[in-house]
Amino acid sequence: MLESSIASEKTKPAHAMFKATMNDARLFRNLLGAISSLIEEADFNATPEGIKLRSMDPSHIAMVDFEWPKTAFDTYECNGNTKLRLSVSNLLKLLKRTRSDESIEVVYDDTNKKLNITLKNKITRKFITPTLEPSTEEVPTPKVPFNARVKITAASLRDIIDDAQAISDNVKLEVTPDKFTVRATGELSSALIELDKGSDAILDIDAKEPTKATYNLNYLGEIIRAGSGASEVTSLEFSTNMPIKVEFEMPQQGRLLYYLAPRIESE
Amino acid sequence: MVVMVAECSVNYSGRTGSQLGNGERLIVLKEDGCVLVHRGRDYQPVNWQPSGCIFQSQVEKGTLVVKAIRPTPLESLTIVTENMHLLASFHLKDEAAFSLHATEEDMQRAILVQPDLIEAGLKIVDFEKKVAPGFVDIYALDREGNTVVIEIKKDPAGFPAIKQLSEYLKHLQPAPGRRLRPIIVAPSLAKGAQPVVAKMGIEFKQLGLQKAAEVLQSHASSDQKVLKGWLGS
Repeated sequence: MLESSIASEKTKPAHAMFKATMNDARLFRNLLGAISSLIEEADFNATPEGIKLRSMDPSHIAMVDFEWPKTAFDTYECNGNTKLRLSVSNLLKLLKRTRSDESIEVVYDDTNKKLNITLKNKITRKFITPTLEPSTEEVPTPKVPFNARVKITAASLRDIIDDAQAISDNVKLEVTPDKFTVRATGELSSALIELDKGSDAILDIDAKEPTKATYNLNYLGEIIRAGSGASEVTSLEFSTNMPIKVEFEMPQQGRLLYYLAPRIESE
Repeated sequence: MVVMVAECSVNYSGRTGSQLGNGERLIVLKEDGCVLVHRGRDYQPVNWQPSGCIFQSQVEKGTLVVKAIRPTPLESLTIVTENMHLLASFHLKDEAAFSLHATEEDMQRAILVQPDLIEAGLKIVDFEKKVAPGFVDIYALDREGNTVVIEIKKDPAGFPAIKQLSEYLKHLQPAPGRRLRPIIVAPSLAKGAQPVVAKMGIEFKQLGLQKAAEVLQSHASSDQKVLKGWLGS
């Protein structure tokens, strides 16, 4: 009896906790901003390898898939698998005045279910915020074949999308082996933006066949505005009338990508 | 109601203009002043005018010409018939009410696709959110960041709904400095529930099944797809 009691005491897991720091607090804030464009509350999975998040927006039209390996942080400690649900908009409010010369430390302890955030520069600011009950639902990855891929500078893509958004609620993307075309047609005006393979904005075009699909600009605009704050290079991958995968290359090996369901145009 | 099957040409002038050459079509003029011109295909008419038009008809060079004039915005549809295959008129008696079959789930889906049914600026955070006593129908944030907890009933909402909501509230917390806003969404409140609802600080938002079904119908015909069909396991 006694032996088993000692044994169970030993195997009892320690409190799940993690602690991570980043020298540029603004980077952290921009990444949260990239998530908040689609979702209000998100389940973050912290493991000894890093932090992951995959979540759909409430209408199930778009998904964000985000991964921060431990190497993306300046220091990272996590002693087990911890799932914590946070109000992203609330967190962003706390980090609103973050500066790039500030460092950030995030500590979570499972015992009190609170997240402690410390911003440090000349002065030290500490925030404590509650976490929410995580959901038990796992979001699967979309299984989509991609026939076309365009790698483009995030800033150019953002300009193109802003132009299109001034005209219409939807945008039609077309890729041929040597050209990327963006069309927006509104009630009065229309826009046609063509980028040849040799254009400065285009880093790469790869199309197995001419591919075209239409997407809602409110969603795509949010995604691209959010992602371009966190990355400089975007790759768009899609197939005719299929979901698009928008991936932002991350400077420190992380992953930030979105899926957006298409609009099917009735001919 | 006047029903015609005829070879005809149709000319529309108004905000834009359109011309439809000769062809065989079904033309329907209804008593509330709307007109539909159908071809032998497509579920939608090729030309139409909404209710409230003034009909003018005359015979020109031996053929019937029908003009439907809409006063505001001023526009008109002119149908010049040539070969009339059928012309019939009816007085239709129809007083039955149109009722849609919708469920609480339909009401929930209607709010999810169009949150401003509840109020402008409402952001849906989650639905069927698990809290200790059960599942919250809709969990959202209002413009000020207050937490909105919505309980949906398809019948007049009474004490069971109130009790359910107040149980959920015990297990929910608003963001710091914000408050919880419990809302009952139903076609109406049950008899005697109003003072209790008011006393408990619960808001009531009227939403009928008909309205919910209309919202869903308009969104169903939208071309926007969801990711669900492409999700792996």
